[in-house]
Amino acid sequence: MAEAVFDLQGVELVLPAADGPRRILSNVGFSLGAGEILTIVGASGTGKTSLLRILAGLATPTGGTVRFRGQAMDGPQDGVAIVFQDYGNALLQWRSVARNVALGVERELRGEALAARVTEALRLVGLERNANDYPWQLSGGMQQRVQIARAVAMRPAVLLMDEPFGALDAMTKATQQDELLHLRQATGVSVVFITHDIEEAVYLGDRVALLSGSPGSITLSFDVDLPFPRDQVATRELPRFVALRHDMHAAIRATGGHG
Amino acid sequence: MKFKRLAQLLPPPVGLLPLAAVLLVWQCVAPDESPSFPPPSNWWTAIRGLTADGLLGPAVLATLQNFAAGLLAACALGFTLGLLIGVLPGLRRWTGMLLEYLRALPPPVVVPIAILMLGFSPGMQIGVIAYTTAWPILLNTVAGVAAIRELQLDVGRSMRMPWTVRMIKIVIPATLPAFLLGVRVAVSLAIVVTLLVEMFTGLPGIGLLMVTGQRNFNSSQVFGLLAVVGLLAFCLTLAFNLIEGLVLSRWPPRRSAGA
Ligand SMILES: Nc1ncnc2c1ncn2[C@@H]1O[C@H](COP(=O)(O)OP(=O)(O)OP(=O)(O)O)[C@@H](O)[C@H]1O
Ligand SMILES: [Mg+2]
Repeated sequence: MAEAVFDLQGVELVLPAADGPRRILSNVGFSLGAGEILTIVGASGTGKTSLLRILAGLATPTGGTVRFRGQAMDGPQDGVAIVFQDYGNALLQWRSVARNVALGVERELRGEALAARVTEALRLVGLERNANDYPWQLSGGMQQRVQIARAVAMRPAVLLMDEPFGALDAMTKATQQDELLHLRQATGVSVVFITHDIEEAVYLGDRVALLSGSPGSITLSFDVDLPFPRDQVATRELPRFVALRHDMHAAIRATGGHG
Repeated sequence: MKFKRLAQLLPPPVGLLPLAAVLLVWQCVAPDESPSFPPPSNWWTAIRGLTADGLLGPAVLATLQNFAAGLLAACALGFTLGLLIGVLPGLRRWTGMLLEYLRALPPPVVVPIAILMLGFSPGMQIGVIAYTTAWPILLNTVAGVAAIRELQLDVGRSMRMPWTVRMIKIVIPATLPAFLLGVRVAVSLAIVVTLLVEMFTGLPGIGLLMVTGQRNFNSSQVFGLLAVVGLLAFCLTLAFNLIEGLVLSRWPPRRSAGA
């Protein structure tokens, strides 16, 4: 078996809050294989973003181990790109869309090569006509896609995505989901995909994990044995899809559901 | 389109009517030889006289030069120190009280000290202008750095930018609007201080001409110079608005004016 990209064991996160230290995550463990899509579902406030920040090397866990390609993590790693949940602050508002997308690659690419990379990434998210706009002139869903383009332009080996399709309408969401599956097919990128949408988690994932409780921990995790290529209509009508979705709902209800 | 934006920077021209009306009434009512309220036509004659003697041009030039030099020095000083203090929280704690104290010193009281240190020289005048007007720039810059969201810096960190690159690509551009807000305050303050120092110390400039006129009971000259100063200040503010508008055209529109 190939070496895992991420390997987490007994990860704990305690953050200072107004009323003293607060346990956010407790005993979180999983591993992400190369080329795998792991979707993490969880209700609001269960610590999904906090977990992603740990994977990104932006937060240090207060306990447990996080290994990236077998090495203990010490800050952000090369080849890892992140799509943040808070797109308004994740984009640099004074840079045009194209220059935002260029941000992660402009130190290695110049001129034509840079422009080509940016255009390619923008085409993937359907925003090539907005290259010269500024983020504050775009809708939330468009800003979110600019962020995806910025991550993709870096040609990452690992993509960490925090509710990236949350602000999209159903049609655009479906298109972007399939683009992500294509991208994995084409580049073999490994993905950690956070969402609160159970259907989306099952549709995209090779594996689904449920983060729940307070402090949050992974209470359920299973392989999604649905065939590829997945199809927005056919896949979602498969009895197996419906069954997985059902199990997931049941598990969430059992763990206390939302809130 | 460019022209339209330019026009928007100017207050509507009808605003000139009340001013014209006041001047007209003044002209009709004031006795020709009034020692306190000479009619506007006399101001004009006095200014013409100063021009003919070759006094006005050099005075305006000297005032503008010292104003510009002082303001530029204040921008450089205020922005650099503001960035440093904003970026290093330790420095901020250690300098907080000192800065509050120094800032509270009214500009006129620093003039005697500056004269003791630098003598009656243009350098002293520029130093006083720079010192007194660097404050709003510095404090706004510090506030601007403090307002940068953690996430914006995380974007740079996640792309493994060295701190110098993060500074240039994220911190400085993010702080620019706040810095310019400080410069806006500094422009009007610098005009006050420039004239004040000239009146105080007899260094050449419009301020000195005004004091001379007042000492000779030449009220027409004083009023005429007042009009000249008003016009200069108006043009300088307009020029600043223009530059600010050009620079900030890429930033999101300000949520609230002033602040
Ligand atoms: N910097 C912080 N300091 C203290 N507590 C924090 C901090 N960031 C998050 N928390 C707390 O950690 C918990 C989990 O937050 P997190 O943002 O990870 O949730 P989430 O699962 O991403 O939620 P959502 O689905 O709404 O995005 C929350 O209770 C939150 O209040
Ligand atoms: Mg979140």
